[in-house]
This record gives sequence, structure tokens and C-alpha cells, in this order.
Amino acid sequence: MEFQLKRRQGKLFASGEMTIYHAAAMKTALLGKWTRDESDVTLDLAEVTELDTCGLQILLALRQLAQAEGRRLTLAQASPAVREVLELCCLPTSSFTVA
Amino acid sequence: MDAALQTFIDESRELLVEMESGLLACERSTADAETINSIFRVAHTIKGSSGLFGLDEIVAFVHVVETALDRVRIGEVAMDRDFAVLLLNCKDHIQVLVDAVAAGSSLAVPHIEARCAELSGLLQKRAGSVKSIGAAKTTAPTPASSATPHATSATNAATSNWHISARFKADVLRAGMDPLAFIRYLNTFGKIHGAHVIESALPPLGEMDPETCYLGFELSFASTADEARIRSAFEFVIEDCTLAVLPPSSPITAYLEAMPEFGTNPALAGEILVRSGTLTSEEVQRALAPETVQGASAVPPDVAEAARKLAPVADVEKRAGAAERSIRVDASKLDHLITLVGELIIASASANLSARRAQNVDLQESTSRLSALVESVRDSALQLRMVKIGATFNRFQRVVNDVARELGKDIELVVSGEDTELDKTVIEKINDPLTHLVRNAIDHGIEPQALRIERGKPPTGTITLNAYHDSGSIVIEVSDDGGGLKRERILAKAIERGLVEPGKALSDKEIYALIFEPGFSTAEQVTNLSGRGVGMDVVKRNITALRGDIDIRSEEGRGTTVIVRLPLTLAIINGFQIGVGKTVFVVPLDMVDECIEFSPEAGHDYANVRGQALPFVRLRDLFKVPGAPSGRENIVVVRHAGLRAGLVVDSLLGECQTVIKPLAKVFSGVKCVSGSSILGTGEVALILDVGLLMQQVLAAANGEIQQASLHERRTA
Repeated sequence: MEFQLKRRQGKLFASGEMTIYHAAAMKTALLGKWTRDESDVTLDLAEVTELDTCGLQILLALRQLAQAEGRRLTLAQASPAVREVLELCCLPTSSFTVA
Repeated sequence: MDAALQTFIDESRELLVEMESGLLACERSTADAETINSIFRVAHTIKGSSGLFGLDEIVAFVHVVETALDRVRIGEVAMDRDFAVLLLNCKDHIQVLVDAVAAGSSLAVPHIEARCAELSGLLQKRAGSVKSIGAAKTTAPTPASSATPHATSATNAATSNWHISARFKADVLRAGMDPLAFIRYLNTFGKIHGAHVIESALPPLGEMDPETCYLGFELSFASTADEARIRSAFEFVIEDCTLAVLPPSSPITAYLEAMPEFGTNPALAGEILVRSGTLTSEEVQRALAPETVQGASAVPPDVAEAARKLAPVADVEKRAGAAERSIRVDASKLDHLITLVGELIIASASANLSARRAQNVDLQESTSRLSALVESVRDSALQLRMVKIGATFNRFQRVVNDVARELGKDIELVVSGEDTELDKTVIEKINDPLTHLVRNAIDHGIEPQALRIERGKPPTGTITLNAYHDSGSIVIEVSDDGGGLKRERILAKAIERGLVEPGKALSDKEIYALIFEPGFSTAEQVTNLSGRGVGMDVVKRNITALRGDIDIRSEEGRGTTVIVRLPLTLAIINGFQIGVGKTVFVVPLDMVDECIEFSPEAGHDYANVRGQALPFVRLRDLFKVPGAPSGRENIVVVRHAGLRAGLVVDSLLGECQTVIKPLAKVFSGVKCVSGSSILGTGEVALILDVGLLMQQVLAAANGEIQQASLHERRTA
């Protein structure tokens, strides 16, 4: 399933596979839709069907980016696939919010 | 289907074939330590690969099998015939699981799960109980790898968990592997109590290459497995990963030394170790205190020991697989190549012809060299499709084993000519007919033990599979040393069914040929396997569809041999062109014995060749070629299946590479022509079906000639 990133009501909604097969797409979409102005960015992951190391890396890079820019990133509604990976790595979703 | 999954399926199937032959050896008590080892390795590999694809049902079942095999391997449990049979059933079930994956069907269905449970139960009864995967119980041997004592000395960590430090290399994702999958796999034989992702190498999102891996993992892992087992979990990714594994209660400094990139900042390393749950803050404090982080002179022996163990991971023994000498090729690519080679041959022939017409010597030389090269390319390309029949033959070991056991007979399968090669497509189509012939031999050929002993035969029956090349054909023989065909019974049955008039005299050969009639069976008992009479005619049809023939030799009381003859080729052959009037025919060069001048005995249809009679046919008459014969005619003597016959033609046109193009369905009724070919001139030549031709020739000749050629065959 294609990775897609949509902006709705001020939030980012990710869907599809966040895997190596969509590596470039993920990076481009996120960089493209990453905010310039908002201090709070919410990334909704309810429709993410799969998350592999490549996808995890991207999320971690997003966290770093938020931290560097002084923004507050929130990972919301992690889908079962996302939750499984985060639990495996002992990374609660709250750990992504580095205020 | 995912290409990687397809590879898993193909390789698992190959491994299962290996496992089966190993287990058959165990059943026959001819297995040695190496056989047991290889069977164990198969289970281990399949378990590992299934884990990578998340095929948990397969992992769980194969785990039980692997554990049982491990016990045999280390001598705790002995292998015997019944155990081998049980393992063969398990192997079959693994096959079922793999096939289900290939078909895309679910493995979580009742009958599959029931069988898994049933077999697991039997295995555990036989080989001792097995810890189910996932539970970290304490009955396994304690980790034996560490030389450091598990003392609660002040310098050792209190943790009872292993610490695993994994740094994945940049290309691991591109190599098709997912680090998370390996970490997940650890949970199948232990529990990860704590994890920490090392992202220090991760560049900003705008600069990172999304396909490069920048991550490392620190894990605190509870398990009763030993170090080797833990390392083996990373077996498939070890080339793209740096791994450090520390046993529980290792010296604290050892943990810090395991994180090279923090060499200058032990405090950060310590913090990570605390976060991953391996060390407590107090332990880290102790380690960071100046007295313990010292130079060589003050290093206590156990720290030095741990540090030595942490030297960059030595190359894990490269898996001792056979050197990868072969590659998989898509069958359609091969076919395409062969088609191109065919076109190349025709184009080259055309070029040759033009060169000759142009009478340009240089050009002729070039095209001649070109032809030679094209011929080599042709041979090499065709060779690619040739497969040894050995693999097919060896699969029958299992068939013979199982069927013989079912019938309560003791039968041995002897195989020879395994290196004989034939075309890949032919091998696939030959499997079913061969299976039927073998089953027949077991069911009807070999007599029950008691009867064999009565007849003074060895109680173990023998079935032989043999293959060899013979003048452009491949011959496969299925023989048994059983009771042979009962001539009288066959004749009686045939008369009963109205196939033969009573009182007619038939040769043995003709009587045996009757069993190929549809619905024919003289079996007294119709068994599950055969005797229903739907077999032999289908076999014959299959063989004929491959342009082959099938023949039977038998001796009552001694045994039977079924001889299957198949053409070796395929698409491109060395041909011999002959001319009749304006028409060009091609005969496979392999079948041409000699060419002689035509001098018939007046009024007879046979020629005298060195004192022997040679029946012939005039192609001009047979194909009704218009025009009168040339003054000097020639006979091309062809040989097939041990018989010789002559073809009378006008001219001999020489050797040529012939690309066989099949005839359209419209021409399927044409006798004696098996295909066509395009000559260099662009004209079409007809390829003669020598086998059928010879049948016609011999049928037309009178009785004395038949006798003559039979005699020839016996002395040939």
C-alpha cells in the first residue's frame, strides 16, 4: 500500500506502509508538508498499516527535527502496527514529544 | 507474491528434499553423524527463514522438530526406524505448511493446527518434552559460554539478563533485511525486558538517505539460551551488523566497553545501559569511578576477560553451505534465449548462402566462422535446459519406500544413469508416467515375500531405474525382478474383451502391447494404487505426446522391463538435408547411419547391404512428389531403436543446423512429418519423423524382411 501524507484541519495524517519500499516517498512527503509556522505538529498514524526500521528511522528523524526547531511533535492514534514496533523498542509515543 | 517470499518457498522445498533423503537413510539405518547434522541444519534453517517472514505457525512447529533432531544429534535420543518414519511424517507436514504459504492460504485452519498438535505430541513422547517457544522456563542448560563466574562481586552487574548490543551497517536495509525483524525474533526464545535505540548517527531529516540504516540497538534480554543461540538469531544479518553479546552479571566495565562510539563519554554510555535496563545507576557510578576505569596494569582479570570477549565480533563461521555455484534463472528467460538462438541460426544460414552466391572468399570465410560460433552458442543455450535425471529418480526412493511398506513388501530401489541429462520440460512431463510405472512394478510386478521365497528368489524385491542416451534419444528403463507379465492371462483377457480374435497367433511383443489398450487390466485385485486399468494407456498417451515410444520386455517368473524412449531434443538439432525433386526433407543427423548408392534388387523393396537385407521406402512415392526420379538415386540409411531402414532420395544436401518449428494443428494428421524448418533460402523443409516412417516401412515389407531385421537387431 502506497504511503500517503495528507494535511487536514492542521494535522498530518499518514496512511499506508511506512516501509523501505516507500522510503523516498516518506521523506519527500514529510519534508514537504512539515510546517514552517506551527509550533505544534501532530502526526496521526491510525492508518499506517506497517512500520519497519526504515519507517522508524524516519519517525526518529522527525523527532530530532522537532527538537532542533523547538516544536512540539505529537504522535497520535498509533495503529497496531506502529504500536507493536514502538513497544518492541521501548519507545512510548510520549517519548516523541520533546517539548 | 513477494519475490523474497518466493525464494523462501523455493529454497525450503529444496531443503525438504534434502531432509527427506537424509531421513530415508535413517530409516534404512544407513545414516551417519553427518546425515543427522544435515537434517538438523535443514530444520534450523527453515525455522530461521520462516521467522523472518513472520510465519509463526511454521516456526512453532519446526521448533519442535528441530529440538527433537538436536537431541538425536547430541546423542541424548537414539534414531530408529519408527522415529525416522515419524520424522518423515513431520517433514511432510512442513511441506504442507510451505505449500499453504505458496498458495496464499491461511495456516491457522483447524486441520493444519490439529496435525501440528498431533505430530508435536508424538515427537515429544518419543524425544522428550520441548519448551514451547516464547516461554523462558528454566529446564534448559545454563548458559555455558562465559568464563566469568556469576558471582555477585562488586564489579559485576546484578542483572540476570543478557545484554545485546547491535549496530546495523548502512546497507542493511538495502540488502533487504529489517533489523526490527531480528529483534522481534529474539522474543521467540526469550523476552526483551528493555531496549534502547541508538540514533546518534541519524542525520537531520533533510540530509538523511531514507534507505540507509543509521540505527543501533541496546537490548536487555532475558533467556535461558546460550550465547551461541543468541548470536544465531542474527545469523542471517551478521554480515551487516556488529554484534556484542554479554552474559548476565558481566563485569560492569564490560558493558561500557561494548559501546565503542561512547569511548570518550562513558557517562552517556552508562545512561543508555541504565535506560535499556541492563545496569542500575549505582552500578554505572561504580564503573565510572576512577579506580576501575584504568589502564592495562590495574585491570582485574575478570574485566580483562570480558574485554577480550568484546573484541570486534569475530567473523561468525561462514555458513558452510556448498559454494554457490549455480544461479536461479527464470524459465521464460531461457525459452526466450532459445528462440533468439533459433532465429540466429536461420539468419546465419541465410548469410552463408548469400556469401556463397556472391562468391566473395573473404565473406565466405567470415560467415563460415560465424556459423561455427552460432553452433557453439546453440549448444550452450540448449545445455542450459538440460537437467540431470538423477533428482527425479531419487525422488522415487520415497515412493518405493512408502508404497512397499503399505503393501507389506520389502523392496529396494536401484538407480543408475543419474547423470543422464534431458530437457527440463521433458523431465517435468515424464514424472507422472514414471510414477505409474514404478507403482505398477511394486504392486503387480514384485510378488509377495512368501511367494518369492517359494520361488527361490531373494525376499527383497528389486526395482531398477536406468537412463542412458542412444542415437539421439534418451532411454529410461523401469525394471523389476518380479513375476513378469503373464502372457496367457493377457491373451485371455484380450480375447474376452474382444480386442483379439481367438486362435490368432500373436508374438510376445504384440501380446505385451495389448496392456496399453484403454481399460485393460489383468490384475486380480484392484488396489488403491493400480489395477483399475486406467493407467497404462494414459502412460502411453503421455509418452506419445512427447514424441516418444514405450516398449515392454518380460520373462515370466523373472521380471519385466518397461522401456521408454524419448527424443533428446527439443528445438534445434543437427539435421541432414535430403532432396526429392524440388522438395527438401530433413532427417536428424543422429539417426543417419550411412549413405549409399541405390541399387535395389529388382522387384523387391529391399536392398542388399553387405549381405543383409535393408528395407527401404521411396520418399518420392510416399509423399507423392511430382516428377521423375533422377538417374542416380541414393539411400540414406537411418537407425532408430536398433532397427535400420533406408530412405530413397534424389540428392544428398549435407548437414545443416535445423530449427524445429512445430506444424500447425491443421497438419496434425500428416504422417511421418514431425515438424518443419526454414532453410537459408527461406524455403520450408519438412522434418521427417523417422520412428513413424520406419514403422511404415517395416509393416509394408514382407515376413522374411521382418525376420531379417529382427536378426539384425539382436546382433546390433
